[in-house]
Amino acid sequence: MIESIDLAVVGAGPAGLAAAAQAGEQGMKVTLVDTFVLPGGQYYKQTPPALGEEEPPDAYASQLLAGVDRDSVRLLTGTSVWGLFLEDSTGQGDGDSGYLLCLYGPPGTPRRLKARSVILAPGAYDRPVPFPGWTLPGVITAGAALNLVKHQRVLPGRRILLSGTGPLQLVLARHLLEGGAELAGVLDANPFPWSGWRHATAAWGQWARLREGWDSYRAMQKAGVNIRWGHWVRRAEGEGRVVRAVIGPVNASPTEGTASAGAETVKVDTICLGHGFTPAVQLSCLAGCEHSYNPVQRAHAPVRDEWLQTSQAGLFVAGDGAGIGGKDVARLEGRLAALGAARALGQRVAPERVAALRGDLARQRRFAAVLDALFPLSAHLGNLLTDDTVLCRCEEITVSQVRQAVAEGATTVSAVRMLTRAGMGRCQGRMCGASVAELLARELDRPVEAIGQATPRPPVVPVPLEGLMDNGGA
Amino acid sequence: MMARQSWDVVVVGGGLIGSSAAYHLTRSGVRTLLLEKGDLASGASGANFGNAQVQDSEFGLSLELTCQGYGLVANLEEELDTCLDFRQTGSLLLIETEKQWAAMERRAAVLEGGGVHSQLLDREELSRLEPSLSPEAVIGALYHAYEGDLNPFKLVHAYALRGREHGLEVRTHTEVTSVRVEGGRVTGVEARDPQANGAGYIAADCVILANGAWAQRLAQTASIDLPLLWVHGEALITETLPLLTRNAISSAAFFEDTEESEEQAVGFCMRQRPEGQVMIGEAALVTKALERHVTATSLPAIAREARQRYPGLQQAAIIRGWAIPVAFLADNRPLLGPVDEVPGLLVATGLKSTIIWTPLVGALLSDMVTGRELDPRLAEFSPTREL
Repeated sequence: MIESIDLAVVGAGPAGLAAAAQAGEQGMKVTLVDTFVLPGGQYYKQTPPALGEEEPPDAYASQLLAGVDRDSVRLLTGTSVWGLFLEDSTGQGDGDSGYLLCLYGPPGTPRRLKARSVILAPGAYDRPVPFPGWTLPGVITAGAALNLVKHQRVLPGRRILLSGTGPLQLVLARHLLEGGAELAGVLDANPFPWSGWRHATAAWGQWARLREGWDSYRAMQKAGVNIRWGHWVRRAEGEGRVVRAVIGPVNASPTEGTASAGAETVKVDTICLGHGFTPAVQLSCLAGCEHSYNPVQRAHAPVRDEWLQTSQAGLFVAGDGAGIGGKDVARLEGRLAALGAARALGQRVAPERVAALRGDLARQRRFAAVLDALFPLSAHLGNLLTDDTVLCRCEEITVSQVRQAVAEGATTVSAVRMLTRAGMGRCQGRMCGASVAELLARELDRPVEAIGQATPRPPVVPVPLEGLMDNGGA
Repeated sequence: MMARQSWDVVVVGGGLIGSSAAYHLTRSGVRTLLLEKGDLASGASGANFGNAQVQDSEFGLSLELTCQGYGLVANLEEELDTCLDFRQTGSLLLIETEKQWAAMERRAAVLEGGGVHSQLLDREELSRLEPSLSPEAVIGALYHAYEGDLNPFKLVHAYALRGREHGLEVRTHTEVTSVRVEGGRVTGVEARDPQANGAGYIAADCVILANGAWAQRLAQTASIDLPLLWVHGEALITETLPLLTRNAISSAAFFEDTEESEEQAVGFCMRQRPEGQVMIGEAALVTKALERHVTATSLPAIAREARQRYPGLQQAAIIRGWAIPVAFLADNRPLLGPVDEVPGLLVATGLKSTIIWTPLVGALLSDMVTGRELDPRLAEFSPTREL
């Protein structure tokens, strides 16, 4: 007998926590599922108890985390959602429309859950930007580095170079400095944001965020580290792990010599790459939701209505999984999606509550749009690629192998996948999908949105064979 | 330059059979256009395990052609001058009941008569050959040492590539919506594609339907009902694992008479790729829909079959499932040849084990189009036979 609930919320970050708390307030029967052992997601990640107590990062976070302790919200942690199916497609339809979620978690966790509505709050993951040597040990993403230093209390290295764009790099730099690391430099692929003043009205009221940015900037100044604008790491070098980074201006091609293109070599033991995030759209794709390409963020995201409902009735997406907006957009979207789900289940939703939420959300989205405008993903990614640069790290597929596939007639990510195995490995294209699409677009001289993306199939995350069973493995 | 809009032959379906036919026709000097609605090998050929199987052939003409086919498959890398990851491996039909044992005994005798040496292994012999297999799960197996496998994607692309070198035109993402029949014979196809390049009417003297289960719908546009059936077939794949088996594994239960049923049937077959990933199938549901979504019930059902026989797979990470319509015929023989009612229309689909037939069927289709003399027994594969 599969348990049946009103609402399943997938992901316990800011969006998911807010959604579950709001739905609980509405009196819905809610289950909140998250892969990590503790709720919080990436923004409010909690330090595991074994590593000592940590104050939640701000009052709102503690409020969110406390909000799920209510009787109405059940929390399933350490649990992956590997499949999401429309009830009719399971062939077990009992007339009740809704969704079937396939779960895999610790012993005792239900393996299947039926929900009349689902809010996906899957968040995002670091966008990989390939360049020669990016797969060397010691080259990690900014998100991973922040996680290590902030929550696991581990420095990823001693002499660390940051390369990417946007304010996350400042936050990371401050944490690394506080942890005692030496910064070999902070590179931002975009020019200095001179045009920032134009967005002053959108930033008005964002005092906490501006304050965090300013504090981080001051910490860097004190350590004598300056941001180098319009620069990035062009190559990582070393035997078995990174020992040197070749840095240079973003508009120089990789083959241009060190001296002529203003490139220089920096001694490092760690490089952190922070080129922004990609929405985790695997579950929304699997459920057959319509997606569209966001040309500013250069990623696909689910299409949503004013209640954040996707093209599939009863399925909502909130937070970064629908386009990168940050934690404040996420928590407001979580609340709005929960009200949308409540409304879809026939509950009365206070219109003034909805209007207030939408007003706040519009304000936060304006600020998120400023960050998008000031720190876009560089348009020069192609300049980093040499023939032997690895694109798919699971299967170790290089740029020249993908170019060969294009020469043989491949015009889609799926065709490249079949010909080269790029995207066939353990991560199923999460890491390389966007890079392959961008390269295809350049090679074929077509817009990226015309290239399409790989089709996720269940299980959307690796699950042990035993974990596919629907009855706890019996 | 205007794209040519008049062809000797239009081949519909860029899978194993379509690409082979297009290649062989082009090599015979026939002006050929290959049309595929998605990417090459994106239908059932892309879901194929890559097995070149002799052992599971039907008897009679099928077995004879299958044996011929094996030689052709083994020679493909040389013929196409391309690495296809071809390997010669063994295959095991796992026997689970006394009844299956008796059936496999009879099968081995007939295969032997057809020149295919198969060997019945008891539980102990099987354990030595296949140590990863749980001895409790089986009573023995029918073993055939000379089978093979290759990478189906590479084969399709090699045919397309070598065909192009000889003048073949390949258009992917071009969907054929109907076969045009005028004055009682084929005059071409109607097609559409997103770039509107080559869309509309494409004239051809001859149209070959090599598009698997989708052939049914297209034949209907020429008022032909094919006796074609298909299952919604589903399978899954593990992450890269250390060597588990070099043999193609399937269950002798596949040869038991099964009733056509509304229920999902779950058989067992398994093949470890040279890269180490293990493909495991299969759940099959006879359907009239042409869908490719993985269902919630298939993955646990397949997992159960696998775990029972290979307990070592219990903790192996499954990274993907897939589903595709797979064509078959009630008599397990293919639809292959001209449709007598509509001159110019040919069909090639429903091959039981497609890889082993691929080079041979391509050559046969080319012979059919160019009017070479054919083995009269091929009439038993007639696309409009009564079933």
